Amino acid sequence: MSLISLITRKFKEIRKNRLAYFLILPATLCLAIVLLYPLFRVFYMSFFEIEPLYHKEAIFTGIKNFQKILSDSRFKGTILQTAYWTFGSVALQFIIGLTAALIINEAFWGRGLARALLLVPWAMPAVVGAFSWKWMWHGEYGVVNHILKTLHLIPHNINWLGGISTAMAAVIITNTWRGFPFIMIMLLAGLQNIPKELYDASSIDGASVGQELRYITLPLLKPVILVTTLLAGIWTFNNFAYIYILTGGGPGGKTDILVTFIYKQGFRFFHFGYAAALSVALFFVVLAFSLLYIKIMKIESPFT
Amino acid sequence: MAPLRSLIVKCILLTLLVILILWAVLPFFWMVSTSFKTTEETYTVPLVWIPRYPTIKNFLYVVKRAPFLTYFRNSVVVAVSTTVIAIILASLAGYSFSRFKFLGGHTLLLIFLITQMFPGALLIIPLFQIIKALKLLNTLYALILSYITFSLPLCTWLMKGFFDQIPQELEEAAMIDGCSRVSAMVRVIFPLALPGVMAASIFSFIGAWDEFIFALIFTSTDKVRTLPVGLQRFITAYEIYWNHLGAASVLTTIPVVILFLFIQRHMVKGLTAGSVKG
Repeated sequence: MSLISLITRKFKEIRKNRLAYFLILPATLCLAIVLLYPLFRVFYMSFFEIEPLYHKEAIFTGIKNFQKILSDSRFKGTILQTAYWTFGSVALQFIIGLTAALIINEAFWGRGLARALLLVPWAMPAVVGAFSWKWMWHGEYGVVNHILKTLHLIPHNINWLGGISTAMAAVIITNTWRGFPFIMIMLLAGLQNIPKELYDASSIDGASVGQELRYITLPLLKPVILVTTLLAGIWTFNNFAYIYILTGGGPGGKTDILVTFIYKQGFRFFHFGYAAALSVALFFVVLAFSLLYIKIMKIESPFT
Repeated sequence: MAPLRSLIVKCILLTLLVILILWAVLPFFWMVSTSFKTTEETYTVPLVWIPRYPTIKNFLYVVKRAPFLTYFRNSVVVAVSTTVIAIILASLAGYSFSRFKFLGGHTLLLIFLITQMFPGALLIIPLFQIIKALKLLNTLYALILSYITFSLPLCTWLMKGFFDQIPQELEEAAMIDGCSRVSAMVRVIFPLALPGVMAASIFSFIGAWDEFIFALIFTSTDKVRTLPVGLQRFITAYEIYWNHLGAASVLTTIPVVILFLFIQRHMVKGLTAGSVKG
């Protein structure tokens, strides 16, 4: 009895709010068609061998694709590179973003202009930024080599994007350039919310600049730091265009990250089933990131 | 932080700031400089910082010879359609999430939040097949549909936030005065949420203008390519003339710069309004 009454009550509630459902319907439909259905499909496809170059039909192979992932040495390399790429970029973006925010937070002449100029990397279209850097890293006519040679830091030209030991560093530096302004702006907003009285009090107590940074600024910025670095991490992890444009994952797959690896398996080698299985793995990583994000937003968020 | 005490620290920080700024603007400067160079000057050693014989030939070449204008037109069509449709859908959904407490609403909002983190690469394999089955491969519709979807979550959240700030009493008053819920929504609330619409439009426009991976996979002829992938074509299909690519890059940047200048006015207004209250 109670179940039926519960259902009728819920049903009445839904009827009462039918305008609400009607309003979210178009957006939800879009998401269902373009995001959720493909997501289910990618799980389904991951259990099949789908090789359009060899046979038309998909062949059910169970967990074979996943076994292949575990034994694929290129995949292991890719995971390591993804970690370098993500953590390296975010760490550098954070250090530079924080430094820039601390400086810009001071009152000085020309501050507005300085802030605007520091935002240029973020305001430029992402792809244009990547192409500009690709030109700057150029082995022969690149401006990076030119500057380093003028400063006598390197004796001869380096082929940055083509070298096994330099390519990853080059793409990380490029991505740091792209991402630090976002962290700077968010931290700047956070800094401006810290009451000035705290610094007045600490300077009366004779605290040094370093101590103020360690005991006042950083602890109070913690919520903003968590949210922004996590977002920066997700964006970097997902960033396909920069790697694709700068190195195409090369040399020899040394700068491939998970998303470019999946692209190659799917659209260069046409191993659709294997690429789907890789996508499933990718999904769980992204899901973990997202849940962490939601948790942080709930507990620490300065916004809610 | 408290006023920095010593002059030395100030000097160090100033130097650091100057280096940072140079690093931040160098790529753009270099691209602009290259775009005005002749081909000979583009490939000279040692490098020339500012073109000695500036020329607009590169721009003329890009506009006349290369299919650049087609890419540009496609990008505008895709970005504008995406923005308009996404904003309408996101406003409706955002309003609903903001004003109604309904069964499944919270879960749905969380799904919206999580999908925002999905990389395009996650879904390219099945989406390619779906788009192919719908016979939308190599059309702008494929791009518009996927860009709308990928910008919806963020735009919906933004719009919800803006609607939350508008007091519920306003539409209640309008309803007492004889407005229906829908007309109160359209006539009273939406106009007030205009700053939110601006913010969400910019996100969705820039997202569509910049998008790379779907454009790469869903398009295979110049007729439907957008700028991000079109620029890439300068490298593979033609010999790489960096001065041409530079000119194309500068032209690609212009709409975004205009947009930024345009919003900055609105952004400043919004920020000052907030700070007066605080």
